[in-house]
Amino acid sequence: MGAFGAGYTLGVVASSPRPPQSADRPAGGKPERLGAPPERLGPVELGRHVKDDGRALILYDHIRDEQADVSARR
Amino acid sequence: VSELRFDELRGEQVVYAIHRQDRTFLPARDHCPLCPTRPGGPRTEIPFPVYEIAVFDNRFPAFEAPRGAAEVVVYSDDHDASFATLPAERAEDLMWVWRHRYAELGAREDVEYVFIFENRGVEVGVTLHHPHGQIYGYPFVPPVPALELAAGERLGGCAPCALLRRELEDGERVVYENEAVVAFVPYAARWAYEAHVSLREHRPSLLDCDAGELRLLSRALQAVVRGYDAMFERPFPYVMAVHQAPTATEHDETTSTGAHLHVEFYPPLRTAEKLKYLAGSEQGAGTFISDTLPEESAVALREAIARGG
Repeated sequence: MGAFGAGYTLGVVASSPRPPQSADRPAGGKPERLGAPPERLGPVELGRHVKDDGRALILYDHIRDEQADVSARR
Repeated sequence: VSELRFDELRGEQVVYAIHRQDRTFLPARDHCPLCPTRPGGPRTEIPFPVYEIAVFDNRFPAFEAPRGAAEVVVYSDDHDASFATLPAERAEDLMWVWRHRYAELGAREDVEYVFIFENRGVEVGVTLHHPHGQIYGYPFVPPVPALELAAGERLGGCAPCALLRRELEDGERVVYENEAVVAFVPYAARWAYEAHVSLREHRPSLLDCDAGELRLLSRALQAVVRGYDAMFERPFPYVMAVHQAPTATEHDETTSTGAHLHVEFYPPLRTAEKLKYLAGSEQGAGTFISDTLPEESAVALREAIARGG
């Protein structure tokens, strides 16, 4: 059983050198990070996770750097 | 695991998802499963103390692989937020999230129709108050989208395009416009304050929209829901339904011409205190009896949108 109990500890299937902002925040249970590049969709970046019970969880964060703002408005 | 049964009399599928009988029902605020998991607090569906938008497989799915999908889309970690109160940036981000889920679920062999929706308010059966929507990946094309495609064939092209042209020519029921999107109470609205929000250009799905259109779609949707909340100065219950092209490959040709991204709102309130119920005529005969005229509702909704800001 993980930090969040059965079904709630995360296994990470994709992450990035710059993880989603949600994952950056101090928490009682940060997921581990792997080296896969982040997925970017317009103004958002997503991080994929899998719960202990196998269900998928995706966190989407707004990209706040200047380059992303430009790409989002193409 | 859900079971599909085909109702021969009505020619439609019925889904039996009996495990949903045990789903979380209006939990106390401090046991909300969609709130962030805070150190020392109860565990939730989202094991982070802060998040922006989260999507996860529904714990009580109506559909699941290999016969469809059911996901929950949480708009904010703020339990008291709503789609109306999201910052504009977050609402715009949500359009990209919807777009992503449409693309990813729609690419699956077992998903023929990606349906994004929100039920807001106990009046429409909400079981969790935390701001969220849902996505069903149907393993078949459901009747309402199928009817819209059939309407397109009847009208010789895209039905939403044709109906939008009529609404713009008439103008009486238009309640909001921007450069890319129009909101109106439809000519044959079923619900007192029903509203449709449609792209001006023919766009079968969110994937066909550019960044500017997604931004303006989010603006239009927020304008409508803020208008709803301003209507009776209370949180306004509604069902929000995003209609797009089916993702089943056999519909490719039809959907390129006949499907048109638009969002339909079905609010059950007909006055501040009275609900519209689906009763004898609606359920037994399939014919809506409305107590209000769309033209009069449009005036009220237009004014409420102006007040809602």
